[in-house]
Amino acid sequence: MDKYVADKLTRPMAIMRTLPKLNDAYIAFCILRITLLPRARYLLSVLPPGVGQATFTAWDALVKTTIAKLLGMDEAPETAFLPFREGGLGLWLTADHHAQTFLRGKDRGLRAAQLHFPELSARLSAARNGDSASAPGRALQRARNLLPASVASSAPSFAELSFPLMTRKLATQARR
Amino acid sequence: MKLAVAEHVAQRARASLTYKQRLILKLSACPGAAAFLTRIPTFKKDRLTSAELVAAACIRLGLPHAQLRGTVGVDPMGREALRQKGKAVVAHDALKEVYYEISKEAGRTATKEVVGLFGAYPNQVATATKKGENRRSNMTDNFIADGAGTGGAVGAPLKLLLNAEKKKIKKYTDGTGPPGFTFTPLGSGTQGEMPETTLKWLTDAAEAVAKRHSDNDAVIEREKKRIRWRFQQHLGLALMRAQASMIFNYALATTRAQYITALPRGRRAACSRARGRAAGRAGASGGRTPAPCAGHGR
Repeated sequence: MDKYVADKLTRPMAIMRTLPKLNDAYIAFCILRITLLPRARYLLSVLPPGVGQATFTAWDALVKTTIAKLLGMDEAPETAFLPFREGGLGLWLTADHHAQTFLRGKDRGLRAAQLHFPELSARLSAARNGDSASAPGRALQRARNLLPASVASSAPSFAELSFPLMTRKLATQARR
Repeated sequence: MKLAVAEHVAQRARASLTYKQRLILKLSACPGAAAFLTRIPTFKKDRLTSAELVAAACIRLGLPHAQLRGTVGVDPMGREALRQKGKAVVAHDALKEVYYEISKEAGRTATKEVVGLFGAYPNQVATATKKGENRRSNMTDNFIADGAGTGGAVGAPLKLLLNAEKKKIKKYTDGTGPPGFTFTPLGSGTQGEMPETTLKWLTDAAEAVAKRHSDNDAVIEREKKRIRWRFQQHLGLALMRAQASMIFNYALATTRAQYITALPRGRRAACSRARGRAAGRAGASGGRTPAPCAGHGR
């Protein structure tokens, strides 16, 4: 699995390494934020925390270096990796969001499976609740344990994480 | 209360910040403040240059500007640069141009100067209450609510924006005005974040544009938000571009001033008019000195 993660992120990382060489830092910033960072989203949502750890750590380090070079700083400020609605630059690190993104991805997948296979509904809802008898349930339980105590185990979407307040408000209204 | 991960990360980041940096972060989180970062750089007018992006990021994150870091006696956060008298009008005028374009797009009659339409300008009553201040040359004070400069409370950053609106009303209107007209103060924060009245004006303009394209209410509602966001992006980009230029010019001016005062005394005198004349009188070349910057005085 680690090799799979490494293979998936090799090309985006190669592109990311060339960004500081672009003449236009604003375009490089947009490429990083809009096209490269989402490459890791899918992997985070399907792989439990701990899988591909080495690649994700290297990815985070590269994101930090790239943004520091683009902004002409010695090291990237921590506030740059906050969503817009928290006053940051809309960037994010996999280390902060892996557990919650995995929870959300699994939750969505199991919910969709419940709709398609009603005969498995009882087992799937047990897995969603973190049933230790099934493999997905155990993975969810482990991911929940990784979250800090103050953090809710139902994860926000990435639109909520990295897009402006207006989108977040709309998403909140839609949930209600 | 349980938090989302992003809020947890923000709390962690906030712990290492100073009071003013936390205040700036609060202002950066206001609606519309991040609009300039979300513009897709399709055209040249839709993007910042590399230096402007760096300045904008420093303003947004409350970090010292690289250009101002080495200059002695200058606030590296750029607060003086953004509030210098006479120059601060650059940001004001940049926003005015964008608001004018938005008004035109919304099909409204717009003039850039409305001096005297809503009463005497500057408002005599307001001027009398603030003695000793030249309100004419200090226009941007009424426009830009610089969180770091005004020292507002961390808990209520939007109050600063409301103050920007209140100041504008105080300056431009005295309660009278032509029938059928209303005065809307268009206030803005350092990053393009805007108070409620301004946002409402922008929403109305966006709705007018959306209604021209469709009769369907659902489409209008959806397009209105998209168009308002585009307006906010344009305003944010124009404001950041203007503020970056103010910081660059300020850095240049302060560095130049520092360099000139640090020159040895003899060198300055050689360039002065009096010294040139003196050298001319004393020299054998008949009253002219070979120095390239000798005075032209007679």
